[in-house]
Amino acid sequence: MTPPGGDTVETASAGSDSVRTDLDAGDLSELRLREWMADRSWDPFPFQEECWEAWRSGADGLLHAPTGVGKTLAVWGGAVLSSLDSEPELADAAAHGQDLAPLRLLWITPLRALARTTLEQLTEVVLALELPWSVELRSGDTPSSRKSRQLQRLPTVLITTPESLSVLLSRREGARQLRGLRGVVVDEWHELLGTKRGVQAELGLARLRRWNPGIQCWGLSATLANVEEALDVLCGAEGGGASHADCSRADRLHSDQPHSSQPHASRIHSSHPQANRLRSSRLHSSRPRRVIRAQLACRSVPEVETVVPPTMGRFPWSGHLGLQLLDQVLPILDQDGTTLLFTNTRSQAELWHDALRRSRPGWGERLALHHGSLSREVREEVEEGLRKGSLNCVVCTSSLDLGVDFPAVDRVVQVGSPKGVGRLLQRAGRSGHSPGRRSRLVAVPTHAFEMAEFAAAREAMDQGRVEPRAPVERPLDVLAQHMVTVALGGGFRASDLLAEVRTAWAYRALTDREWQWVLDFVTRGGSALQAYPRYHRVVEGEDGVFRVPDRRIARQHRMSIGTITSDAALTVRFLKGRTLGSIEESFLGRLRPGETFLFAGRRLKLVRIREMTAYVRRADRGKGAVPRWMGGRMPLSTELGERVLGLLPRWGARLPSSGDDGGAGPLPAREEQALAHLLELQRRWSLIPSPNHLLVERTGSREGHHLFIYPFLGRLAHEGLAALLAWRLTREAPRSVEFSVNDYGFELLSPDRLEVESWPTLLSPDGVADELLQCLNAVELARRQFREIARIAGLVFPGFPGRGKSTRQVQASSGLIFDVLERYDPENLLLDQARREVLDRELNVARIRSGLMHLQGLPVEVRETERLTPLAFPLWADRLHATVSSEAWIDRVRRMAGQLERAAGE
Amino acid sequence: MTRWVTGRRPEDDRDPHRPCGESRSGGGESHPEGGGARTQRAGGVPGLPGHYPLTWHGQELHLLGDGALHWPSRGTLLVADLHLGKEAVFRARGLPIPDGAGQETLNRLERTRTRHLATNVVILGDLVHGPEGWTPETVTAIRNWRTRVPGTVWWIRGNHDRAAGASPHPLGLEEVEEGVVWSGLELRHTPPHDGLESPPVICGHLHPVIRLRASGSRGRLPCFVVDPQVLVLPAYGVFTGGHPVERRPERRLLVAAQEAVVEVARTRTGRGSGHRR
Repeated sequence: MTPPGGDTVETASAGSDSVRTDLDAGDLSELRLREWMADRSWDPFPFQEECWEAWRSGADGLLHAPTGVGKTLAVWGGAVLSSLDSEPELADAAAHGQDLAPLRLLWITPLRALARTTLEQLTEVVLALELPWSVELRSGDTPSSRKSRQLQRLPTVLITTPESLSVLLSRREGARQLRGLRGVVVDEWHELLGTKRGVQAELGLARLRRWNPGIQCWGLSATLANVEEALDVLCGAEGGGASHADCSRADRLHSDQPHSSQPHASRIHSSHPQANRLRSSRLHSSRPRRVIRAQLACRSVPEVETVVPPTMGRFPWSGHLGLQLLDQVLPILDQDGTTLLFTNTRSQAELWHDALRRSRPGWGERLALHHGSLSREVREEVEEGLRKGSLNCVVCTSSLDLGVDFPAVDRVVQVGSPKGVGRLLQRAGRSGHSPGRRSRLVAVPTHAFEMAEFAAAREAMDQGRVEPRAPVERPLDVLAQHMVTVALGGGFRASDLLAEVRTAWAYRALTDREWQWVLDFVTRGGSALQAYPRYHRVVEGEDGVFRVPDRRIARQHRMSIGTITSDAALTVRFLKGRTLGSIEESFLGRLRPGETFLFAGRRLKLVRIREMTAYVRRADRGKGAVPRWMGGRMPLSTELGERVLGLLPRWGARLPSSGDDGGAGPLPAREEQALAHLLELQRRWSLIPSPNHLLVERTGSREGHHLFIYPFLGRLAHEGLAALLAWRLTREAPRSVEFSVNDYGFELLSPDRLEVESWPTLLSPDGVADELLQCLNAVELARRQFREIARIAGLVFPGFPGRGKSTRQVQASSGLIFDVLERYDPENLLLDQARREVLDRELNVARIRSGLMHLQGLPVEVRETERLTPLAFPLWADRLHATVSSEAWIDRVRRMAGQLERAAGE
Repeated sequence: MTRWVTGRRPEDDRDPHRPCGESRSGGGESHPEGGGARTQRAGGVPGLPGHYPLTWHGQELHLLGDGALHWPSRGTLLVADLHLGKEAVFRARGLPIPDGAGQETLNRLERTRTRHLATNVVILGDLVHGPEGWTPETVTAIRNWRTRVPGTVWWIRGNHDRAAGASPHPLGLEEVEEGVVWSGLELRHTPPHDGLESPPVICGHLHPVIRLRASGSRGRLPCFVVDPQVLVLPAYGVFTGGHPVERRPERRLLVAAQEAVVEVARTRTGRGSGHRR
């Protein structure tokens, strides 16, 4: 097996379209790739060939495809072939002396768990093509000895995470080697898009592109609506906000880079004239961008089947169903093969795991639990079991949404509404990887209306509609971190870095003022700190280059690179040895030694808490509290909310008692049948909501006067909307208004009757942002939001691992720092950012404003109801939940539901 | 989740002395009061802390809303954990924190001292935060403040003070050994290991705070801890954090809520919340 001894090889075999007498390294490798696939009886899919062709033509691109269809091979094949086209000696072992080929390709993955499988897949292709390449991983899990060896010489292909890429950029040696890159692939780009991690990757890519404008950049994505935008974000802004003068200067800078593609341009095979032209082009913005969608007959829309309970109450409340459907779910799990049972929260996963363990004691080790708070060791064990197919059932959360495909997974069960089409699609896609099999998902609603949500999600899937993900706009905390990173990795000149940063999509509209502030922040700590000579993180040298002179600060910065904030979490471990995972301090802090709780699928007894570790031992009995992790509930997506609202009146119109007997429509779905009683009652007592009007129900009770309003905009938007309306009502007249919200609507409750003089005035979108900041406790919201910002911008230091005490002197909570900054440095732009993030992310003001604009134009249908309607009941129950203990709550809700059922009659 | 919105004007919500607690519920908990950890004003002088009289081991002591302890019979104010110069320590380690908190800590102390007509002050340790905390500004601020105190300022060195080393300039403070006994009460920085043998102890060091809500980790307010043999003061410094204290049946917890001192229930209620609805 000799590798090709040059860049042209005599061959008699026919190419795909024309007969050639000589083949360059790229063509030869493509032939080998096809042969290798043929040996496995794989026929390249059209989208795979398209990817290879697009890479070889020099394009940037995004491959949009569901999981498990050969995405990796498509993009990876293209990356390899394109590199060989432009640098044929990469295929030549002799060309690199003792070493394997130097760093050329970078594969960025958001998930460390994914990295290992990717490594295997990429290596397989490299071996098949007989390339003298090394493929290695570098992530937070990589041993430090390997990391420092890698710094001396990086592999030909490096698989890494956005954080590890930043750490590399902060190393002078790493940064030097990264200049040789020709291609970058970002896996699961849809997961990064819309997050600060994504912005971190954008900044890293901007840097790589500046060093080598010819670098090709590809993303892999699934389940996304805004594919074109996703590609633009990945490939950067065309010239950014920078002037042309900036670009041409940047261009001059590139021309002296050692790895410019120019030397090889002449060798490009003449069958790629376009590529030739493109590769010699110096401005990345002029390169074509391609979106390739995998259309596969064998992977059609997943099948979604809903479990319908035998009896269905007309007054749904969350927590009512769910586990009650266990008996109907068990037969599904009893079938052969492996089932993934997804829940929406970690607490729910613990509860389901516990219930299954008791119902199926015989399963023992074949029942497993997987969620983000479990230790890596525990999770890897489960993943290994999935790989081997040795598990009957894994109860899991979004921790298994992404990543490695487990061919052994036969079916997926989703407990509770997925709240988004994309998520349902993704989860369904975890099953049925065998060729020709359709993914199948069993939906388990946790309350009656979730039937409609599942039906709406299925409808959206059938029509190929999923949610978009909005990219993040100019987060200054991420920029501040990146600036220090670049200062560490060899330093920067201010004007050069500004031009570069503006080519990153998130910062294309970065203002000069913001730039200057961030520069001040990392050099002097912000405007308030100008008078303190002892503070310096980044220092401008006499040569005009900004660097980090202090080694302690350098080390500190590298330790804290990243944008993921986790709550103060305590490690949970057995007295003797094994670490199980981590739980937020807020939960464990309330437990006393001797109390039991449910975690990692076990009943545990707390022994003691020492130095951020909770020591536990196994508990034999005891009820056991279930930890509640922060940020559990996801709001209903806009797409899904609109669909549910559209679906209810259609179902209502087909009710047996309505004038239209529904004979003409398609066969009603099972969900529709199950909801028929409930909708019939809703219509009898009030009105079925519809996109053509805004339903408002008014009712009185001993508690006071209730207004129930149903815009179907999702929990997040309703929270702001309810606060806004309550505030506006209290300004009209002095009174107090209490509110509660869910995904469909919200309730306003007041001791006085709430008369609305003018709905259009009440629903006016004017001045929404200001009013929201006034009526919600905006300071508190911003203070909470600041936690992440402080961590990313380097205002708090998370500490070195295992060295708790040495850094204690500089430990302070972000809340405390927020207070100090607000008082003594109110101009700090990071405070502004916290407020902006509250408006955009926490409250989603844009959504509230557009919602109001729409609602304002709708006729308002006010219905006076004698009692709580099926739509109002869950809102009432939720509000009650907040004020009484759990046991009393269940009793009261049951009693009320019984009363209402009796009132509704048969 | 529910929240109350009442007919107050928005400016009523602004409370310049809002303690470092939080007021928005973390996830689905109710929130009857709406804004901040507001308490009724005691004392009647706006902006000045109220006080809570406590007879402890035969001594009349006043717990003050800002976290100081007034001992009227000795004309003395006791404070713990000022952590002056903490901002400078942070800056020296590359964390950009502006100045201001230290000066405000001293200003607040001086306001409280004059209002309660205390002649002397005892600092129960951790006057400064660390070696880099001895900035010229901090030293000057301490010396200026010292000149305003007519009596004596005693200083028990705390662990942070020992780590910080000597002040570059004399401060005019009277250093006393940890463990000095006044009228049968022992004054210390750190709590004793066993409080049974020794006389009753007044100390600091722990930065006690109490959680005021079941969910979320930030519903925390500084508090006095009154055990049978140990009385712990909250941290007095503006730029200080806290550690939650455990509730015990024999333990009294009194929140230092600026305008007032409020005792919370001694035993755990419901979901561990001291918040009555």
